[in-house]
Amino acid sequence: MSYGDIGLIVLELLVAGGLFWLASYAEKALSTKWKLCYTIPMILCIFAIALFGFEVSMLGVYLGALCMLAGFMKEEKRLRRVSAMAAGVLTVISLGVCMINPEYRTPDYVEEFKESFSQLKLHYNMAEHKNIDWDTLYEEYLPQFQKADKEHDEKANALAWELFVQEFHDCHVSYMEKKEDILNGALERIAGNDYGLSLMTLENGKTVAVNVETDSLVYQAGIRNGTVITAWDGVEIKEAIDAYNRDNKFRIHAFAVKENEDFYRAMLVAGTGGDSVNISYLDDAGTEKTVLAGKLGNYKKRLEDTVDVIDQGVAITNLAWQNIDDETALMRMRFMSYDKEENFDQMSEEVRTKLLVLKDRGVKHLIFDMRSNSGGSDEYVKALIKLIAPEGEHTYAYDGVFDKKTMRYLKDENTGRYLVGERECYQGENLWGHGDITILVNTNTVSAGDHFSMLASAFPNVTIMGFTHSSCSAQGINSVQTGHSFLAYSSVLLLNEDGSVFIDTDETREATVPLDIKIPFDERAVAALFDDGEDYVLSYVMSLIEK
Amino acid sequence: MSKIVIDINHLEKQYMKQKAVKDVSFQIEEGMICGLIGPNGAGKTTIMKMLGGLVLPTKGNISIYGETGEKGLAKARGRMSFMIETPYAKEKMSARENLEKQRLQKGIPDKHRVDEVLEIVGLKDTGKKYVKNFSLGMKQRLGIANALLTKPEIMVMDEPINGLDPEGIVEIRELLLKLNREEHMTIIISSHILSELSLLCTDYIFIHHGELMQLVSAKELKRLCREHYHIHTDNDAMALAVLSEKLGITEYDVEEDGSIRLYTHLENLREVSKTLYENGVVPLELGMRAANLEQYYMDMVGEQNVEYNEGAKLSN
Amino acid sequence: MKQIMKAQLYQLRKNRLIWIVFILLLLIQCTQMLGESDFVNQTGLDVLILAGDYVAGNGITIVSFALIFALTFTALICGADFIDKTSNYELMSGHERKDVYFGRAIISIIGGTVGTMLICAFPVLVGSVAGQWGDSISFGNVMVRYLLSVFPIVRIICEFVFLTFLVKNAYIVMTVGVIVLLYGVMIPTMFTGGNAAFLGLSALAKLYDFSAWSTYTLVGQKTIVVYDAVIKAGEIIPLVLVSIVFGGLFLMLGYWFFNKDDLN
Repeated sequence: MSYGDIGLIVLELLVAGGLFWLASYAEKALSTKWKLCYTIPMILCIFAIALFGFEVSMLGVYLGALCMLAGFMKEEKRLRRVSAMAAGVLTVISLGVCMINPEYRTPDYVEEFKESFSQLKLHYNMAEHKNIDWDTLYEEYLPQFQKADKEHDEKANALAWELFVQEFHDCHVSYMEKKEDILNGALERIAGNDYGLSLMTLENGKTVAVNVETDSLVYQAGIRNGTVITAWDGVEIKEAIDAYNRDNKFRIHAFAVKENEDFYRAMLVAGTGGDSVNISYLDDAGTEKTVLAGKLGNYKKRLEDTVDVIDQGVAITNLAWQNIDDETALMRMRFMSYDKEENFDQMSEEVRTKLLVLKDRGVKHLIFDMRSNSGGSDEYVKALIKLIAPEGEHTYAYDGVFDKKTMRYLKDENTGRYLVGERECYQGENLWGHGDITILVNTNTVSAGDHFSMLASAFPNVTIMGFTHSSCSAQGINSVQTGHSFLAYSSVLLLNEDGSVFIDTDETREATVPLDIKIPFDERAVAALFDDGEDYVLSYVMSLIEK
Repeated sequence: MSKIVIDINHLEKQYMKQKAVKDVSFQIEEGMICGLIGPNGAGKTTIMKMLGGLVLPTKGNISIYGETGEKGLAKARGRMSFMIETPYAKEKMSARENLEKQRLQKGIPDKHRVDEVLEIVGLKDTGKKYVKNFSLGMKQRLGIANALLTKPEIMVMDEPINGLDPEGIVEIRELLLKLNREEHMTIIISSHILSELSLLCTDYIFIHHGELMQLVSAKELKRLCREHYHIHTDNDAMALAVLSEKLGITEYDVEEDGSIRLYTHLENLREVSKTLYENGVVPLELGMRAANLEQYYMDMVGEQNVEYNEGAKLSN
Repeated sequence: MKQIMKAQLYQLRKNRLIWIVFILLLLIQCTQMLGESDFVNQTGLDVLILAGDYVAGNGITIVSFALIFALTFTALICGADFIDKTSNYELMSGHERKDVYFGRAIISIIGGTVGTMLICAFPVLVGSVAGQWGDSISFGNVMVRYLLSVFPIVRIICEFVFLTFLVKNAYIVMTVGVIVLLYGVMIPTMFTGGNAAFLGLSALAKLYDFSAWSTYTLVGQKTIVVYDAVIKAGEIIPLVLVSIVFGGLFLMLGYWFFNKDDLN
């Protein structure tokens, strides 16, 4: 129950008691001023409603307060005592109602959806670029919210939102609940069952088991990390994967790049099925075998663990350096934040000094580990990128031109492209001209992380590597809040010189930030990641450097 | 029989555990100048406030000009005017401005009335002087002027001559008498200065500890205060017979307890007592009595330690 | 009742305090607004603050300052005569308590509302003449909200009337009221999810709380703010209803109290 309501109930009971006693005291006193006390319950209620909101279950309390007003109007002892008692009784009844009523203080999910949807429609700046069909989305999702509202199911609401935001294929459109367990619970509903393994499709097209649970039936049956899976629940594996992705909208998260989404295509299939599934696989000899695997629990945890393993970056603090060998140094860039005051000049200075020190020492290869870099301020990006950029002026990006009246970014009527506003640029210092730089990315490298990768990829000595492209979602964001959640979306327009959208993918969902070397996800990768716990990406990069 | 203008019935006002006014009933007839007499805290002001509608009685009712309901009383009060406790005065305005505001509030159409009343009370030449700077006497006069504004039929005044100089007191007294005589105005007035009241009032109401002790007309009071012999014997009936026969007394009263008030033969006490004694009547109490209003009141109240300073300014 | 009102108006003309308060508030509003533009200049914008932006950003401050006038006006009309007890004479002159109460209440409501609305409008007029309204917010919508704010203002004045007849001291009410107006506005805004219409001040705060949407530029990190001032029917109706109900309620409560009150 909300604290406000509890407080009000307690106060009202105390006041009713006080006023009950006052009835007899006031009779002897016979000063008219005492009657004012009988307005106190009403005033308390007014404040409570104004601060915490009106609630039908609390009607008893409100009515009780009105009852007490009778004591103000007529100075009769019996009337006052009766009304005080009535108020007390009504308040207690109300307390009961609040505790039992499932509709007690539930948000109106439909209203929230409609409100957020209209905000989104008004301000989401990638709608045209990504060809968003607002009407279809609305028609498709409104019923889901209506159902969630009717059943007062907060998790169903969160799930509907998660599915909804994924439709935008924009990593900057996201939904968060203030209470974590709501969204977690929602995802558990859709994740499916855990049969003791996850699935990934290798570069060669074969689907293999990964993250196999050692203490499980499948393991006992002989399935290991890297075992080729041929069929799932009686369906041939390719067919099963296609079927899942065709029939279900849910992906492990939103993907702006189609290729990135396809990288994880098999993952959710490992959660499909009933109490048990028939899993067909090839044993060491290459014979197809089938095991009936029973469900161990909910698939969500295994799913997340598997993705974590694939996405891992070097586990050191942000902006910390690690010497890989005499000629190679690595800096971890997990977050684009420096300190509380955002003292980027100081950060530049520190990194500059470090680079010069490394240069002196004879280091030639730099690795910027930007895996799962969640983005941040462009000032941060500028502060670092200028250090490694070749000499001269470089363009960062262009602002759009915002028209306050129409609340839209303006377009050129002739070309149909956005009007280009002011240009953001920076001066390169070329501190690493003598050596090479490798930037590591994954599907979670987003926002300013995309900015950095995009800008750096143009430099001659920079190579971008990873299993996949970075996420390619880089516009500035805004958010809509409700009492319990908030919805973030892209709204601030960033453009290229010709008026095309900076970085964000269009409806083709082709990556815009280059991936110079796509590290193959093969048997060796699986073995390294899941059997040896190795940072395969880093190892691969090192092997390339050594050549 | 004059018309009854104010009728008070079993009026009571209780504050906390105390009753400020206890079961007071009296009637005021048209044309009376009625003095309310009592010590501080007796309840005089409370009764006046209830008449004015400032304080609501806890029991009993008030009827003015036959009206009893709230609306009726309000209408009736339009024919009255009051001066209770603080005289009407807004400090930051001049006398004329104050009265002008009152004129508007009371709905008096005649704009010259303000000047008229200012003339009557002698404040015509105050000009723009703020009431803040008035002397106490001037403020009292302003209050009276305010009361006169509507040409009321009944005036209720709580210590109106408080703070006035002797001239002022006489002026006001003359004014009130004139109004009563010429306009037949009924006046209810309370004051500590009993000597003034005795020059002014036609009737007296004595209030003590919230209770009505007595209502007596001036005539009656005079009679009660008249110089007389107080004769109380072992056989009063016999004493009366003896005195009638032997001395031929005609002017006398018999009191409730049988004792005799003899209004004649006052210079011959010896003869009276001798006559009684010779006829077998033993005088138990024999003496000259005379009273004025003060003494009468003191006797009635029976408290010798009530401080009663004539002419002093006592705040209620 | 009319007579009481006439007398009050006459007295008002002689009262210096209320005029001083009125002029003072007008001046404060202007200096606040111009002060704002100075601030704006310091942050690099080279244009005089647009009236629209000023209203959008400071709506509730404008109104709560203006309400000080309503407060003073009501307190003086309803309370000043109780301090020196000159009000007693109105009753004794044969006016019913009903007339004494409502005569004063009506003047307070009308005078207070008109004065407050004028003081609210003043900085906007000055701003529009000196600079421009600007594009950030729609004038028509702001106008609608401005007119709607009459309801909560009247309600708040009714509450002041009630309070003044209770306390019977104009100066106490004024002091308490000013404190509440200056600081109390913050409290309702700290709680989201409440029905703001229920408290007079929070209803006003909500009326003048324009939903702001901002975007920013890469170059110079400038913020561009637009306001959505459209008010939906679903918001208007509860606001008006609740204001009327509670305004009437407090007015009647004051009357019921005053009707049986002993004036000593």
